[in-house]
Amino acid sequence: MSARGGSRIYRLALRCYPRSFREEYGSDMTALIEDQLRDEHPSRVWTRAVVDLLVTIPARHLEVHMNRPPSFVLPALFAGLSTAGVLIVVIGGAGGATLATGSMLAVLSAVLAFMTWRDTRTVAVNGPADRWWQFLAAGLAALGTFVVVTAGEISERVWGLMMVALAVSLALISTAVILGVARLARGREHATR
Amino acid sequence: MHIVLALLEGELHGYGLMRRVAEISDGAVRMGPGTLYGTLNRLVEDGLVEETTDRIERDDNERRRYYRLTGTGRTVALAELERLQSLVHRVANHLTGGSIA
Repeated sequence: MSARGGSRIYRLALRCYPRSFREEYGSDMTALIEDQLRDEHPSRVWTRAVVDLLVTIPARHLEVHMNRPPSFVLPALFAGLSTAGVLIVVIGGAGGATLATGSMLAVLSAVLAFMTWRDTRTVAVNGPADRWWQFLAAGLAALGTFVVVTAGEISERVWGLMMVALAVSLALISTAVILGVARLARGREHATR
Repeated sequence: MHIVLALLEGELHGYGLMRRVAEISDGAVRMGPGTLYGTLNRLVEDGLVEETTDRIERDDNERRRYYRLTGTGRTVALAELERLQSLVHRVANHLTGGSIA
């Protein structure tokens, strides 16, 4: 393999690193490989480079993941799903399957919402709450699809899909409401400081 | 630690640093680019190493970045060197009954 071809493949392999790391050090790493290829036997350089890539790519991703501040989106999403479960029970009536599905969704999501919120409560709400309108738009879009499709005659299979769309839309709209409230609360908190 | 010790003699760029580490470890430690820059990234974040301004222009118009120890980095490196020397000294004394000083 020629040095130029090798460094091109190496540049491609660098895409596996997290973007922030790649943007900061990618060109230096390629330059370093080229320097090594000038001074050492290519087989030694590439063997070392492959082992290095295999070890450090997961390590850099893990570092980025560990350093990421816990997000407020996940607990809000679970809270939204829980609310959707309650709404399914309320709207669906006392039918056995609807009651069981709605209750299970509500309880499980509420537990997950609490567990994920516990991990994030020390972190200031930042960023995700500002995206409440995206959840609202997606939820309204899903709800609109449900309304349009169910207005005509549909098969039982499509009806099942539409129930899923309804649950997703309710979850998204609830999440948007929760994030919106969090944003308002944050704004008020900042105003009182 | 090898990187911090290698930088004790002054600033180095990535490849220079890699060669210096191989040199001071008698070839036992040969780092790949991911290991080198991953470690440098952490050391910079911890305030032990700092990046200096670009010093030389490469043939292909790329620029090398140089790294050097910060004041804290130098203190930590010297303390670690002293700790290792003292450890080796103590162990050697125990193993040979004090014949090696």
